[in-house]
Amino acid sequence: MLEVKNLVKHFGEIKALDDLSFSAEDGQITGILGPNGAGKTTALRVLYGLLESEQGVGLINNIDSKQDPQGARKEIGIFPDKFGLYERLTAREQIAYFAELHGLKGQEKEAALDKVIERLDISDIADRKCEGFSQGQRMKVILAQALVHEPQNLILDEPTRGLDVMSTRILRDVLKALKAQGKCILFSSHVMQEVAALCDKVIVVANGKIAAVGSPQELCDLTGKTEFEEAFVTLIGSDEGIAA
Amino acid sequence: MMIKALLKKEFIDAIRDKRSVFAALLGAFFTPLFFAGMMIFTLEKSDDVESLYIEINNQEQAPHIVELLAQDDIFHADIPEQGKHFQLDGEKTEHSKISLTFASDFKEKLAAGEQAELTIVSDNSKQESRSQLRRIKGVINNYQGQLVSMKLMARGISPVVMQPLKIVENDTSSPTSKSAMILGMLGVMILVTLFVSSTNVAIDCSAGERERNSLELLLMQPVSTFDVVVAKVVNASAFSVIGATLTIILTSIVIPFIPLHKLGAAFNFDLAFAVSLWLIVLPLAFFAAAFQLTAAFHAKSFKEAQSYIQYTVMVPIILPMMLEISNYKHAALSYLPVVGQQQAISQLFRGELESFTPVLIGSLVTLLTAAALVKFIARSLKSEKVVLGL
Repeated sequence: MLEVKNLVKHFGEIKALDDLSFSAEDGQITGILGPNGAGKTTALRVLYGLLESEQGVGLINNIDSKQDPQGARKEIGIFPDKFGLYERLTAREQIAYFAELHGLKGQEKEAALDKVIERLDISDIADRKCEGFSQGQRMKVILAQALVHEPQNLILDEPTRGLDVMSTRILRDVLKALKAQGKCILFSSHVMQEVAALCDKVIVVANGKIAAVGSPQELCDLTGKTEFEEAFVTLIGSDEGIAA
Repeated sequence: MMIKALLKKEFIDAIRDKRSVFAALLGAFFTPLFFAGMMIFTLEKSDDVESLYIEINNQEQAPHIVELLAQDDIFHADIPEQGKHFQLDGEKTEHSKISLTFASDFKEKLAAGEQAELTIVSDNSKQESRSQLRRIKGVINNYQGQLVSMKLMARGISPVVMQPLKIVENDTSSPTSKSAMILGMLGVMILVTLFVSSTNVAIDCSAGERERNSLELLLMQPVSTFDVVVAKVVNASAFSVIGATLTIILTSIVIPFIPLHKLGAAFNFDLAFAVSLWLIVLPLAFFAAAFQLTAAFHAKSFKEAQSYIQYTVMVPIILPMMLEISNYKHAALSYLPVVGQQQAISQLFRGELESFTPVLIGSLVTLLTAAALVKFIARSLKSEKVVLGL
């Protein structure tokens, strides 16, 4: 369960978040859809306590990420917008490092590593250094890093950006499987099809504000459009910064 | 537990970075080699000064004096012609251009008990000329003194009559304190090594990780920024300790090959000495690492961090130099990071380090300063400016 309430944040003169509130429930895939610069990444950074908002709270399983950032972060797996791999570590070392940071050790850690490596089918690259990995391979290592401690909540920031079809499909299958296990999945995107195809609930964000919330079908009904893309453009009042 | 995981990753990451390892080794090898080169150069120069070549005319008039001069390494050689160089065994050698001429009736007058004349011609505007002249006159005056003594004794008078005063000269500069001046430089270089060895690790794990986006991902994990910074500082200081240790070991190997005795300097770089040196610089490694990480984290980019770090490497050279020039003295200075260690090292080299108490207090202050810097970085890692490099 992920929740942000009444977030307000400025970067200098620019209002990045303007009284933003939304929630993501367990057993659902929730998408934050918005044009570039709408405040998606900023909202997520506030949610896991990397940035501080001037007002409002971010709750992860009802833990305030401002009060107890470490406690809150234990409950999530994060798939960041930029893949910050340690180029000189092997994929396995990399995943093990994050497992250790989440408190796994010894046998338990090794078992979790084997499980996630098998699940994402990366045993062939597990003992290779990350430098020289393809974008798809990097995505898998980052996903493994986010899932190794089996968190209840998974947050993905623009996960399919720069991925080929095969990688995107793997990612989608993993997300669907997690949803079936009752996990809470929140991802941000500016790619229309992806959101329409995967999400149970879509939160449309523009200019740091919520423009609309609902299932893709509900949003179409709300705007009286048959195409989700049309509905979206109507909702944010412009087609700037959207990828079809 | 968390620190262990963080530290393990930092170390593996750094030891696989060729540039980091190279920086540590460069620092380690540079000091002893540079020092040996400098010393040998200085020693060769001082070798040349020892033998003095002058032109001595009418040598047959005063063979005793010529012999005494030779005993003092003052030899005869004709003044070379204008534009030509004096050659000794086919090698170009410095000639003093001083000439000493005994009068043609020198022997005769001396034997007769009359004043015998000798002429010295020199160019006193030349800087070395005066000391060379003093050397020559010293030998001649000595001879004169002996001559007078003998003549007085032959007449049954004690030579002490001629010397109512006796000057007792004691040179307090022990051989160790002589070499200390040169070895003081070695001390500064060991401090520089300490700073150089950790530079690349410090930049790579801070500004570098931020540029590769892995810093942000790390800070999103359930770890305290304090633990993260402690791991990075300990890892970077490990490199600086490795660099300093190698330097001390290599220097102790190189020193016996340097003919220090030629400078009238005795120096014993034994195990106890090396260990004392190592213990003095050890706390500074943590300070160096924390200081460099502070600079690198507050730089906007990897490149900017590199230029900041270059200045941090200058600290152990500039700080002692500034104090030397300004002649500012204060008891508290010996407890400051860098200055304290530099002073302790130079005392150690001079053999004047009597008590380890000031060193211990200095070490404590250094470690506390490093800890304060760690606290400061940990706090700034909560600011978006530093995390995102804005």
